[in-house]
Amino acid sequence: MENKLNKGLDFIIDKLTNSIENILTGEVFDTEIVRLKSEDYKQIKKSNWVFDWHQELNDDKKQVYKLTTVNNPNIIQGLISIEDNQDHMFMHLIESSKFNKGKGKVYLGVPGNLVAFACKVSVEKGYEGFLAFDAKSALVKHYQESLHASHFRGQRMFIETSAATRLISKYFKS
Amino acid sequence: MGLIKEHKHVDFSTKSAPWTVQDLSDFRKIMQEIKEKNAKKKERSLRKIVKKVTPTQ
Repeated sequence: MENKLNKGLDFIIDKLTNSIENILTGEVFDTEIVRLKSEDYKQIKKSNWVFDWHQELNDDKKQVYKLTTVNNPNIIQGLISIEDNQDHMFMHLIESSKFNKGKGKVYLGVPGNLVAFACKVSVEKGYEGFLAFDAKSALVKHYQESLHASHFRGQRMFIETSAATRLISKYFKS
Repeated sequence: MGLIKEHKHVDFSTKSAPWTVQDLSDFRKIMQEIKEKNAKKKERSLRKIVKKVTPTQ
């Protein structure tokens, strides 16, 4: 699985209201993003995830956040792991939950929501929205189109200020 | 407010490999250039606003 996916603050955010959309009904659900700490590991059942999120939780340099709907805070819709690189945020991992993957996915908007959140953290830290990450080769174009991400080199990509502003305004109610 | 909808058949997951010192150094140069451009843009628009609100003598 590693090969398939490869080549791819002391600042705590308690709650943010965004939304995701049910693919079948079109119904929109308000969501929230909450930081997870190492003691929250029980919330993440290893078998439900491709990436090793327990390892991320145990890494002090990284911040792990979960996305849930407001009404159902116990069901994780997606996870993101980011690091403060002092002048930009770096996205180590992002993953939608099992039921938000593939043809049968339940909700749309989970990853976009989490990426927009990472950009928001970057803005709040004074990094002007810069977020760096690696993309699977086949998805570089997709990220350029959907997130307005910039291609740096190889699989390296980043989101700059104007793209970050666009994402944040799409996801976060002012 | 809108949603960025990934395609139904595209799963948007990423595992980033650590960036090399060279990658980071080159990226920081690009980032600096963009930040400088943004600052100039901001300054220009501020000047315009100041010009508008400053009465002519």
